[in-house]
Amino acid sequence: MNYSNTFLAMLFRDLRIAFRQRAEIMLPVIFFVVVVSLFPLAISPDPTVLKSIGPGVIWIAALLSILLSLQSLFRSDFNDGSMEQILLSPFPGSLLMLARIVAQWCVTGLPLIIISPLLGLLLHLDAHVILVLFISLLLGVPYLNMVGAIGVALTIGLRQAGALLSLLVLPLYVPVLIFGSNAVISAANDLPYNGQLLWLAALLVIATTLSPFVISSALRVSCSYR
Amino acid sequence: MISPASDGISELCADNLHYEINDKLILEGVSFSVKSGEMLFIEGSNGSGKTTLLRILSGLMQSDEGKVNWNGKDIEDERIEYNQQLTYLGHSTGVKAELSTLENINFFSALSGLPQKENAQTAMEWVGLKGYEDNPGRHLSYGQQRRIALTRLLMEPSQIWILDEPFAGLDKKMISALETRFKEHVHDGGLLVLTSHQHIELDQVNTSRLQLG
Repeated sequence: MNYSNTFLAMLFRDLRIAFRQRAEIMLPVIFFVVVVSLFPLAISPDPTVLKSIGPGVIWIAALLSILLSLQSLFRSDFNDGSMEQILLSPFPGSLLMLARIVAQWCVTGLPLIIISPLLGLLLHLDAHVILVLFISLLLGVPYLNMVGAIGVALTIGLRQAGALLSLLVLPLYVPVLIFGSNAVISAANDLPYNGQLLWLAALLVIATTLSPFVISSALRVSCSYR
Repeated sequence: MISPASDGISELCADNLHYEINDKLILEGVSFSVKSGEMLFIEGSNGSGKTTLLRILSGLMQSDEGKVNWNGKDIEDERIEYNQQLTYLGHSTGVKAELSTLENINFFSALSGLPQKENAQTAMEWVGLKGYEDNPGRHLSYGQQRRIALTRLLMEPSQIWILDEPFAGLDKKMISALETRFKEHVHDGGLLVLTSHQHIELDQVNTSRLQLG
């Protein structure tokens, strides 16, 4: 059995499916841009105000748009029976789930990270602050994807999982939100921000190593109570 | 062609299976045994627990009591080996609406993890989907989607087939092609468990029947 071939087959399958539903994959990133650009209109176009709320606004918008993207994760696989075939394959479920999360990150997390410097400019953040923002999102957003996927895997078998999912996942998102936006605020105030970024990196390592196993076990449980 | 018999004799045993949904006993003390070269035909009315039983046999669900043994070992302990030898076709086909026929078939092959017995072209010809290689699943009828899933019966070198209503949505020609394929599989030392509302009689096939409900 060739693990890497199957990993890539799973990854490319998901990417292919995502790019064939362009409207759906654009939604989280459009939401992200719209939410952030509404703040200067609603609060104040004053650069000092925007500089102070900017980091928090971008981080909250990123968090909510990842939460939004979770709604469709695993749903179609669960409904059309492909999840059963995935769980019954001789390959470790964790390997296949890792491929799924990487694909999910590529279509929802990555565009959001790439566009974030532009939104930083919109909110009058300085260049070195934007760099820290970029790094903090690069470390934090994959964590949001992975932990979110655990929540989805646990609730996918339920009929109205939306509210429960947010309730389950948001408390786990809070540490990343605090470290992420705090790193950017510290950078803006010329304070050290390495500590926060290292915390984000540590959380990312934990999530990457554990979440594929948790997701595959949770999906197995969800599938067995259909 | 790699024949399933090359993998030796297989035996699938259900031992006193119980399953309850919402305080209603769906399966009560179901026991049976099927060996290589045999077919088990599970009969029963709607809601008698046929699908539940097949999902338990495939390992998708756990029974409340009792266990499923494969060659004397619990399938839970032999996940990888068991899954390698298993082809399960459920109610849902597992065909993705966004992917073309060929992409769907290639993904099934990638998931099965073993070298395939036949290539995708031969399999598509067998199910009558030649010329539909590039059509996305959503443009195909239900019967055609089922046919995509059925290509696995030609391609995967597995020994254990667990099929839930394999004839649903198929025309007469495809049904008779499938029956021929079932016979080949069983004669090659394969093991077949299936449910169907349609009466099927495969001559020269060692068939046992299980009545549920």
